[in-house]
Amino acid sequence: MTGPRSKKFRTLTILGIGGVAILTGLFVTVSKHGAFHLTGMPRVVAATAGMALLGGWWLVFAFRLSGAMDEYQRWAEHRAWYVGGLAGLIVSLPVYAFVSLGGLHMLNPATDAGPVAARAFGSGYMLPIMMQVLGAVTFALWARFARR
Amino acid sequence: MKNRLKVLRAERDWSQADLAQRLDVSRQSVNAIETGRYDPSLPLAFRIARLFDLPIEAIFED
Repeated sequence: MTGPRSKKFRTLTILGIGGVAILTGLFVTVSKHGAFHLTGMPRVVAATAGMALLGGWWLVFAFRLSGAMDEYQRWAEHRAWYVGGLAGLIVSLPVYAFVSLGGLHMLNPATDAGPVAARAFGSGYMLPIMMQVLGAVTFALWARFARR
Repeated sequence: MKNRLKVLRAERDWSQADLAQRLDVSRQSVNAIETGRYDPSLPLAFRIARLFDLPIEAIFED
């Protein structure tokens, strides 16, 4: 494959490998048995900063990938995200209700994580969903009011 | 939407990859259009029409 499309894909490959390198570096850095033996707050800060860096990298990679796609690939990806993402979310709802209301304890009485863990599970479940909704609303507003 | 893309491509003895390269799209796109799974945008439809030197309505029909 030659031409501008293949150049774009080559750039994306480099970006992808760079992202993997960052992820690997992150885990090596924050691992208790890693090169820096980080513990406590420095470990939390390093992990948070590493994840933010990886998120930025991922964003660039996603935009570049989208730019390299042709209209059919973009259409197919949007549909996959919309239908697949929605299906995944719908499947997760009963799982969320089951786990957060103590369903695991019902299945195995030895498992008793307690109310604090249940709240933490709920927060963990809601965080990506809320951020996704916020992102979708922001993007929809931008698309609605952006100057053409 | 039906189209004659596969016939026109075969007349010229082009593979899907050949046509994809000429249109600067992926081979999957050509396949999706040929099988009717995807209707191309107007700009791409114009590019296809220009490539085959035919009016759009001679390639695509309702």
